[in-house]
Amino acid sequence: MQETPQELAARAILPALRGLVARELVRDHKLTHQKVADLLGLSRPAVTLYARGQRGRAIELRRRADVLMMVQDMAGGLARGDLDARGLMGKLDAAATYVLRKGYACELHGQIDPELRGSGCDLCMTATLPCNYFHPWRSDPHEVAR
Amino acid sequence: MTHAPEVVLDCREDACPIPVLRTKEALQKLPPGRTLEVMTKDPMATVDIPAVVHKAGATLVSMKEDPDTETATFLIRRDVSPGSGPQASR
Repeated sequence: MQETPQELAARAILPALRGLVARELVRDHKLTHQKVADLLGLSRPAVTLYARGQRGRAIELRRRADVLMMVQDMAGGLARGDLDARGLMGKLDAAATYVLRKGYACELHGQIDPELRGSGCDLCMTATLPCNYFHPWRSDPHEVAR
Repeated sequence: MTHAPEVVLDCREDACPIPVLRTKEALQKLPPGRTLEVMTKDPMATVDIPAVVHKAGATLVSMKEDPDTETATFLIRRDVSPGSGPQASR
C-alpha cells in the first residue's frame, strides 16, 4: 500500500510524539491525566492509553535521544504554562518533520510499502519542509532582536 | 579581552532544532560568570540561538560564521547578576 510521508506522520509519528509528551507530563511533571488531556486537547481515556504506552506504538521513538529532547522541551513548556495549544501544534508538526527527515520512519514506511525497501528512497529527506520548530520566535523579528 | 569558554558544545552533526535545545539545556546548567561555546552547521541557529540566549538572560559575546566549513560559532556568557542563575532561564 502506498502512503505519503505526511500520511505516515499523521498515522504513526504524531500519535507517538503525543504519547511521549503525555507520558512525560504524567511521569516527570506529575500532572493528572485530566490536566494532561486538557493541555493536549485529548480525552482523559486517550491520555491513559498514551501514558500506559498502549497508544502511539506504531513507531518506536523512545530510544531516540534527540527526539526525547524535543519531547522534554514541549512537556516542560506545557507544564510551566509558557507553551499554548497553538505553539504545541507547531512544535509537534516540526518534530514530526524532524523524524521524517532523519529517516527514523523509513523502516516503518518500508513495512507499509515493501516496494520502498532497497529502492534508495529518500523522499522524506528531500520532499519535506525544513525545520520550523522555533517558528513563533522567527515570526516575531522584534523578539529575536530584543 | 579574550574569552576562553569553560564549556564547549559541538553541535555540528546535529540537525535543527537539536543545537538550540542543547544550547538551552547547557545554559540552564551553566553557572553565572561562565562562558559557553556552541558550534553548529544549522543555518537557522543564527536566528534561534541569539533568541534563546536572550530568553535565558545570558549574553551573546560573539557570533562568527565560517563560510568554508559552514559553521557558526557562538560565545555565550551567563552574567553574574541577580536572577541570572540557572532558574532564570526556565
